[in-house]
Amino acid sequence: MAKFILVRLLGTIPVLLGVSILVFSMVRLVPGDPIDMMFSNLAPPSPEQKKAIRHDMGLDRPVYLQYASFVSNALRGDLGKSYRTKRPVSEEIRNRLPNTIKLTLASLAVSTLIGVVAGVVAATFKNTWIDFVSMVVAIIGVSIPGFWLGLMIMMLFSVKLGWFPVAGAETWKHLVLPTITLGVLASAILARMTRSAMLDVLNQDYVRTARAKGLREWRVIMGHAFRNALVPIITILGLQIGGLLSGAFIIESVFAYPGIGMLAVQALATRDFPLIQGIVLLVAVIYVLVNLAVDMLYSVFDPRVRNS
Amino acid sequence: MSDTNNTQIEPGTQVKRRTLLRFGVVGAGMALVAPLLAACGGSSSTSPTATTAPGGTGATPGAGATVAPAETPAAGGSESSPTTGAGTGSTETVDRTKVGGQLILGRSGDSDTLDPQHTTAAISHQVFSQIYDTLIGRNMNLEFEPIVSESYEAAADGLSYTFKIRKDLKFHDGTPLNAEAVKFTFDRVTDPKTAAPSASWVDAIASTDAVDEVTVRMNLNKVFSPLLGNISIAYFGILSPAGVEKHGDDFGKNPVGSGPFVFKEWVPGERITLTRNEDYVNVRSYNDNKGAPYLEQLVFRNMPEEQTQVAAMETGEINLLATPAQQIARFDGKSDYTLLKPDQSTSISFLEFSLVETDGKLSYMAPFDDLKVRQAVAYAIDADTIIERILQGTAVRNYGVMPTGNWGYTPDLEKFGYHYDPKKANDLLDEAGWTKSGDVRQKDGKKLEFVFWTWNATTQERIAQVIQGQLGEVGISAKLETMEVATLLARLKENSSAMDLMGWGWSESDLLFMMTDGDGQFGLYQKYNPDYAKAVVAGRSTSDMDERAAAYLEAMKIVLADCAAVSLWSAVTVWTVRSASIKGVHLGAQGAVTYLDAYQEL
Repeated sequence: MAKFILVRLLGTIPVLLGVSILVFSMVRLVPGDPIDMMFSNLAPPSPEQKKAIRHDMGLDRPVYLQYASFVSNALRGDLGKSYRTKRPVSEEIRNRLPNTIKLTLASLAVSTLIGVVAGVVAATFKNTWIDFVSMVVAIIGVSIPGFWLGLMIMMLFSVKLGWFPVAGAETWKHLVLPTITLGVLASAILARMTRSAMLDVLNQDYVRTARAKGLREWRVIMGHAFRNALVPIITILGLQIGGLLSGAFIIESVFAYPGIGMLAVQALATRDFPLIQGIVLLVAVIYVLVNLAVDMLYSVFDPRVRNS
Repeated sequence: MSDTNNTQIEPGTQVKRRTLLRFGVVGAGMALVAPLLAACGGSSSTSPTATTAPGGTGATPGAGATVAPAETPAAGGSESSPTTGAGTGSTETVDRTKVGGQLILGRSGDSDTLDPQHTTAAISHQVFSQIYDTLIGRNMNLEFEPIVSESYEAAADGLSYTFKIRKDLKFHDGTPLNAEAVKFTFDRVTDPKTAAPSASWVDAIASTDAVDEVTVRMNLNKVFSPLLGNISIAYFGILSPAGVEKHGDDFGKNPVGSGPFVFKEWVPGERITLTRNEDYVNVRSYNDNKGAPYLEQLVFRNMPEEQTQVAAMETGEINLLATPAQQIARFDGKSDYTLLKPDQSTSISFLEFSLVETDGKLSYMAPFDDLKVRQAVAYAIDADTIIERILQGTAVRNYGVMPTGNWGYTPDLEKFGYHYDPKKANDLLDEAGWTKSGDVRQKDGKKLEFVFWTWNATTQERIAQVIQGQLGEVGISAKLETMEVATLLARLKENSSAMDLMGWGWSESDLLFMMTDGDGQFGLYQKYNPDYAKAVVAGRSTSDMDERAAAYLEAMKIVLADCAAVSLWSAVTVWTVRSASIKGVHLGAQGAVTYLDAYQEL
C-alpha cells in the first residue's frame, strides 16, 4: 500500500511540471507587454522606467531562468506578486480560497445527495416512469448553461421570493443559491453515472444470489448492489470536484461570491499574469491531489485494487 | 470663449484608456470608455475630475489672481453656480434627523489599492476620492473652488502657485492637515522611489515648500496650464503623513485622509466599507449639506455581472448603480427608482485610422490614404441613431475630439463637424474614383474593403456591427474583427487594421495632447500634422486662458479638416438610484455623483 501511494505521488510530479510549463508559457505568449498594462495610456512609462521595472520583475532574464525561479519560488509557496494589487499572489488566493472550499464542499454534498439518490432510485425502478422522469431531468440538467441556471435561481429565490440575497459571501444565506446552482448542475451527470453503475451491478450473479437468499430488496440494493457500484461513483465524484471548481468560475461571478473563481475571471480580464499563474497552478494541484485520493479510496472499497 | 463653459456638469472622473479599459471590462459591456466611466464615473463627491477653469475667471493659472471661496464668480457661465460661499468658518449644520443608513453602490470590480499614489485605476479612485480631499475641486461651472485650501494664488510668471490651507483641518487619525502634510504628499508623489504611475501628470512640479503652518508654495519647472486641473483629481488627494509612516507598504489597505468618509473595512473581492467622518466640514458649493455626511456608511460592492447588479438593485441589496445601457429600460420610469442622467462627459469615442510610416513619412493606410474616403466614412455614420437605439441615451453626440464636459469643449464645433449624409458619402466616393459595382465599390479592380477592429464587449460589438452596416450602405466593406480589449490595445501597434473604434477619457483638456502623443493610430497624429502639435502644445503651455481655449478650438478644427478621427459621442454614466430607500443622491460637479446630501429615511 505504501509503495502504491509512493508511486502515485511520484507520478504527480511530471503532471505538475507539465502544468507549470504550460501555464508559464501561455501567459508569455499572449500579445501585449505586461508592463504597459500596469500604466495608464495617459501616463505611459518612460523607456528607462520600463527597463527598471522589467529588471525588478526579472523579465529581462532568459526565459528558462525565469521559469526556474518561478518553480523554485512556487515550491516555497511564493507565487510572486499580483501586477494589479502588488500584493503577494499567495495572499490574494488565501483571502478567497476558504470561500471556494466552502462552496465546493457544500455543492459536492448537494450534488451527491441528489445525484446518487436519483441514480439509485432510477436504476431500481428501471424503465418505469420514475426512471424516465429522473433521466429526462438529468439530461436537462447536463444541458443547461450554468450561467443561465444561476440567474434563474437568483430571479426566483432572491428577486421574486426574497428568501436569499443576490450577491456576496457574508452569511450562510449567501452560500445557499450558488450551492444549489452548482450542486444541481453537478448532480445531473452523477445521477446518470450512478444509474448505469447500478444497472451494471444489478445484473450481476451475486445480486441474483442475494435475492435468491430472500433478502429484502432494499438490503440487496444498498448492501450488495450499491457497495459494488461505489467504485465508478467515487471516480465520478473525484472528477466532479474538478468540475465544481471550474463551474465556480462562472457561478461565483454570477452571485458575486468572492472565491478564487471570481478572482480568476477578474485576473484574466485585467491580465494579472502572476495571479492567473497562481490560480491555475493551485487548481491543477487540487485536481491531482483529489485524483490521488480517489485512487486510494479505490483500494478501500475494492480489495482487488488493494491486493494487486 | 466664455460660452464654452455653459456646460453644467460632467460625469466623470478621469478615464484613461488603458487602465480604465482594464478595469472596466470586467463584466460591464458598454461602449468604449463607457464601462469604465461607469466604473468610475460618479465616484466622487469631490469634483475629482478636472478640467481647467473657464476662460477669464480668476482661477486661471498664471493670471496672478487669487480665488477665495466666497468670491468665485460664475464668470461668463450661463449657469450661475449654486455657490453658497460657505467657507471654513461654517459651523456644522448637519440635520441630525437624517443621520444614519447606508448607501451601497454596486460596481463591476474591486479596487487595487487605496493609496492614491500607487494606482491610476478609476475603480480605486471611485473609493479613495471619498477618503482624501484635494487642494482644490471644481464647482458646477467647471471653475476651481478650494477644498483643503482656502485660497490660492498663481505667480505672475505662471511658475509657482501659493496655497493657503484651511485652518484646523484634521486627518482621520487626528493628526493635523497642515502645510507640511501637503508638502509631504507632493514630495511623495514626485519621488521616483514612490514610482507613482500618476507622477507624469504633475511632473511640472519642481518642488513644494511649506512656507509656514498654513502656506504651501508649489514651484514649477515650466508653465503648465493643466496642473491645477490635474491636482484637483483625487490621485493627488492629501495623505496623512503619520498614516503613511505607520502603515508603510500597507497604507493602500489602511488609507488615512481628511475627506468626508473614513476607511473602515475592505473584504477583498467583496466590499469596501467607509463610515462618516463626523467632524467633516464640507465646503463644496454644490452640496446643501455643509457638515458631515448623513450616511453612516458608504459601501462599494463588487458584482461583476450586469444581471446580478440589476437583481441586487431590485432586491435593495444595493441602492446605487452605474446603469449598463441595456438595463436602463428596467429602471426608467419606475416609481422606486430615479435615473440621474448627466448631459456632459469627460470621455470621447471616435473612429481612428491607422497611420503607417514609410521612408520616415507617415501616411494613412489604404483605403484611407485618400481624405475623401475618410470623409465618406464620417458622413456615412448615423451616430444619433446609435446613441438612441444601442447606447439607450448613455452618450451625447460630439462632433469634435474634446469631451463635452471638458473645459474648452464648444458646441460651436457642430457647425464644422460631419453630419450624417449618406448622399454626400456616396458623392465623395464617386469623386475618389470608387465606383459602384454590386454591394462593394471598386477602383482599379480593388474592392473598397478593410479590417475594422474593436473590442469584444457586448455593446461595443453591437455598435461596431451597426457602423459596419451603415458603411455597407454606401458601398464600403468593413471586415469587423473583435478581440479582448487588452489584446486589442496591444495589437493596434501592428497596424493590422485600417480603422478601429476607440475611446478615451480624461477630465483635463490636455487630453488633446495626451491622446495624440502615443504610438499608434490617432496617437501618432501630432507627428503626422505639426500644426496640430503646435496647437495642443500651445494649449498646455500658455497661462492665458483665452489663448488656451483658442488653441484647442484650432486643434479640433485641424482634426476635422484632416478627418483624422471620426468623432461620435461622449459616453455618459447614467446612475440609477433606488429612490424608494435613499434620497438626496445627486450629480455634483462634472456629473460625478455626490454622496454628501444623501440620506435614508429610517
